[in-house]
Amino acid sequence: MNKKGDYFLDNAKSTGSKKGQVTVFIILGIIIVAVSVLVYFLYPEIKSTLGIVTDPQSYIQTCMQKEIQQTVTNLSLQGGLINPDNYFSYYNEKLGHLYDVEYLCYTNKYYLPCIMQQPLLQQNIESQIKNNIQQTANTCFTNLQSSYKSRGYSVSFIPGNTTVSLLPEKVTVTFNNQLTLTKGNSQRYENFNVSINSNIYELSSIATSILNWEVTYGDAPVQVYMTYYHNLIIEKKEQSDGTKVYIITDLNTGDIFQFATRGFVMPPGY
Amino acid sequence: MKNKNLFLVSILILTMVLIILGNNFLVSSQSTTVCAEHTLYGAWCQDVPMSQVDTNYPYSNTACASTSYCATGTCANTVAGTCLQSPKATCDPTNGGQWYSTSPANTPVCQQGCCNFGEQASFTTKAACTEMSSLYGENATFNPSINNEGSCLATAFPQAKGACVFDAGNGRTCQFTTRQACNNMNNVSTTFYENFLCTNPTLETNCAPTQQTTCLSTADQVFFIDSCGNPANVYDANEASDTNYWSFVAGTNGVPATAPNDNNKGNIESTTNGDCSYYLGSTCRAYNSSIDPAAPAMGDNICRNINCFSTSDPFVNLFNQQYERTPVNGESWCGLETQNSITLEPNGNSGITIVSQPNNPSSGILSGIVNDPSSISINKNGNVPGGTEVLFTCQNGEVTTTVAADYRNQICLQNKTSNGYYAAGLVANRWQDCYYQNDSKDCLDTTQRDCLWLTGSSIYKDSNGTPYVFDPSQNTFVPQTGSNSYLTQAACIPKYSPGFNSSAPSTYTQCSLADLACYVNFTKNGGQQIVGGQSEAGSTDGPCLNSDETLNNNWANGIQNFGSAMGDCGMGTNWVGTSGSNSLKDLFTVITNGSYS
Repeated sequence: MNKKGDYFLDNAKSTGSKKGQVTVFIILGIIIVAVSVLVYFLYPEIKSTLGIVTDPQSYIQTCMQKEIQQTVTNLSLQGGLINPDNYFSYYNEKLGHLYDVEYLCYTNKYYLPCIMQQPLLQQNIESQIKNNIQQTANTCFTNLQSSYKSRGYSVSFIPGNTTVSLLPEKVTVTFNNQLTLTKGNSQRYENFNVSINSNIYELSSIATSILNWEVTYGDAPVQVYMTYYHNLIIEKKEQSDGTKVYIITDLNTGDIFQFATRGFVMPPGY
Repeated sequence: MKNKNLFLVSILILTMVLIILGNNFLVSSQSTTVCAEHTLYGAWCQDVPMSQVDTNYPYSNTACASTSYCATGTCANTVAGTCLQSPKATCDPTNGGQWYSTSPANTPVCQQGCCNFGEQASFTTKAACTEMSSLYGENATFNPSINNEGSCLATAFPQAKGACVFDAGNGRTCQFTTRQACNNMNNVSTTFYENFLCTNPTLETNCAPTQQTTCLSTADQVFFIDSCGNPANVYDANEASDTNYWSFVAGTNGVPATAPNDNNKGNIESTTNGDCSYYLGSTCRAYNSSIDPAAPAMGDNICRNINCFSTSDPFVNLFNQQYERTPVNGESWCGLETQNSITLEPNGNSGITIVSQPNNPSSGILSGIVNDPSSISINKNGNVPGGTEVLFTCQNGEVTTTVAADYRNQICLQNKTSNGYYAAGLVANRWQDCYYQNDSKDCLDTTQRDCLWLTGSSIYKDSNGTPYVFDPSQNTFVPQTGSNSYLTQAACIPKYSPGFNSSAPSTYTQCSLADLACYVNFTKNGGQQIVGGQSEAGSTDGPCLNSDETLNNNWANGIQNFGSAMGDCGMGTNWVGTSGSNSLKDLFTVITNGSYS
């Protein structure tokens, strides 16, 4: 037996083993740190996914945010309506999709100006959002109550009305419901506010201004708007039947509002 | 019996009368429209056939303008302050609408004035002013005596801003804002330092300079931000460590008003300077490696080139090929769709060009040829069936297109500005009353219409189809006689040939304005020779009909050109270069009347 060789072999095994152990612990440490970081950033969603309610306001915000955002996006591409009824089917090449774009100002005649169909555009958008999210809101509040009940709380819920406000750079929905949670002492929550970032207030204001031009003069100077509002691109797509589809794009946020008009159409010949 | 027969006959007659009247009523009902407050296809206040009426809403056998529910007035939202012309039916009270029968200009709540809030001014209603004040959290003042937008905007002034310092529990902090906003802060005691930045060391706040930048919605430049999130001065990498640059607002206390520029190029794509200029083709945008050639030296924002410079864009490439440069931001130009591409129009739509026409003796140029349709030659310059123009605009780095209205009811006009850039626009083609003008002065009045005065053939004709001639002394068209054969036939025609619907009956009516009758008197003299064949205008330059009774092509081509100038009439090729199915002989009919003597 070569004791010297054995010494070296044993030493190598021992050293290698120790290094391997250290490596394992290092990897384990990295994993723990990574998981901790993930939990820290995703905790609200994780809790929400697991049905753990932090506080009612945050829960409602998380629960409703996506629905409100989707509603705003959908109606923005359809002239402000969830279910357009008097519309032009327009294929938006940039988005690669066919949309039913509501006529906000319309006449079926030649030569005459269009007739305003949505003089209260922003207020109508608020109504559309409110109606479209109500079912989801009811579900969210029901789940909220169930969650607290399952944790032994006594829950009192008084539903109230819902208000939607288009504001500069955001949309705020206020649920004027009253929630009282009792477990020992009582806590009352009311006026649940959910806000999302959206430029629909600004874009619909521009749309209203364009409609004013359309109903009065039969056309709108889109280049003037773009010169004044540097963050906007406004396209006017004239169709073969005299319909015009206006597409307002905010370059900073990517928000789009599109709508249709038909007025002062000249027929072929006389 | 007799009485019975008489009675039966009377009943029969009465029945027939009733049937006839009933049919007439049905026919008229089906062909007329009613004013429907709401239609089945979802539109409000339209004159439609009864079959399209939503009978759940009011409707009546009258024009909408005469109804109470669809008469035009003003829909005002007195909370939001909006006022729009609209019918009563669409002014929903549940959405806050209040309807007035007067126009917006004559509705008291819609009277506009000047609203000043914060640094801004807006020409709007008093209610809208109050609403904006609430939304933006700024006190607003409304001045009704300012009655136009220009004067109102001139009253806007940037309020002095500065450092608003206060204790926030975790230390002495700061917000860069206006004096008014600083004073209005709730629940904190504030001190305002005009023209100071929050990073001014003498203020001893917890806000420190950084190398971070931001874009502001109210400006085009790139700005530094401090550690508290306040915007500081315009990004200039050379000043990043300068204490004074981080202490005071630019333009005060020794800080230059503007960062050093790059000889009026808007600091496009500059990595060290954020003094962008929209009008020179740059504006603040978040750096994007796929768009911007180089990253900024500091921060994540850069003066992006918003001119349309990418020749991978086919429209930019087309512009570059034509004008040997790429378009700049705000530039617009005209193009004409052709079969495989678009042809740019350096001067916009030039309209039809009269290549040649008979000389006009009235102008002092005497010629033996007074009225000779064969001399009419025009160039349609793209105003052909299907020909449609496109308006291109370079805006924010993108080329957008607007297609002109069909049937050339819109045309594209283009000009070159003094600094060498192009400006174009789509305008209405005012051709409709060209045909009715009976003198050249009215015809060529560009304030009213877009027409040309063409000599050699006339639209006005007598019942036999004989063209009238233009008498300058009477300034009108008169019948042609032997004594006024020196007078010229003429017509006021559209400068930009309109397009017609090929299947519409009205098209034939409009094209028939160019119809011309050519009377040929010929005799067979003994043998087979035909003599005569002159047109009724007394032209000696060849007949409309050759001696072998075939059509004289020179004459026919002239008439065809005249017809083509009316619009999409006669022979021609369309926008993709395909010829129509008509040949010259298809356009003319030889009618034989009488017999040989």
